[in-house]
Amino acid sequence: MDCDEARLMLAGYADGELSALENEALAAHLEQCGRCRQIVHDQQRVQHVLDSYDPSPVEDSDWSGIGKALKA
Amino acid sequence: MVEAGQDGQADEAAAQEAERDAALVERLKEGDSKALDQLFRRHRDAAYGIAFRLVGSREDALDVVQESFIHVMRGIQAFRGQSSFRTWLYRIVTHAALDYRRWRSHRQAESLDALAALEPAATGPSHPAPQEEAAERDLRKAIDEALANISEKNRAALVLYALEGMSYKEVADVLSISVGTVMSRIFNARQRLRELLASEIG
Repeated sequence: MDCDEARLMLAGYADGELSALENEALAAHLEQCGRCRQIVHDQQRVQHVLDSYDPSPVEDSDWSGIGKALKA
Repeated sequence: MVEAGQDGQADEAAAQEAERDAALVERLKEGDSKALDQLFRRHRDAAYGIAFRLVGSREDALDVVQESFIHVMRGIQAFRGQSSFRTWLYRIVTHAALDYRRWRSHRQAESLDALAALEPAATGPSHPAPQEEAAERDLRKAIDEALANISEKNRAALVLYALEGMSYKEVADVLSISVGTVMSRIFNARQRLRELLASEIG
């Protein structure tokens, strides 16, 4: 596997979404490729930041307003 | 083995939730308006989460949620259950949010054109200096802005996966694309966010 092939699967590797076979093949490439390892690290770093990101909270009055609109 | 057991329990719980949705959908099709209220209560937080992350503001996201559930109400007779209700709803919310963004961008462009026509001699910045804005900006705002600056296709895949906790397969179903395309879009979205958030996340 070369870097171009590996890049197609790095997100899936970072997210644990690959099949066992794909995972094994990519792991072998990552052992030899520092650049692709860095990209996996970057992908996981961004994901970690996103994990702590919540939208602005919603008030009960907002929900009841929409609920009334749906009943109208 | 423990992980497999946990996955199995999660799958079972998801299947039970899908069955509850399906029962409510049938009641709604028969004209029971309380079923819509229950579907709304069950899914409004997730719908809002998707909408907020795609349109970037609380008020706009609430509009999108309302519009989406109106779409559900009007379109429920055409829903054949080929996907789960959750997948169908998320598809509606995603499309509604992206349409809303396009409409808003169009409106903003028109407003700016009108403003330019009215005030050709306007001088000086009307907003705080960029340095001041950057100093005040917290991580949430930085993420909101970064998300607004990645392509809508990549953003939709990332929002559904990374922020709503869907699997690649579920994202693929919602967006009607292949799992490989989902993986590619999520990869590109996060690489772009890595660039845009370089100063915030190091």
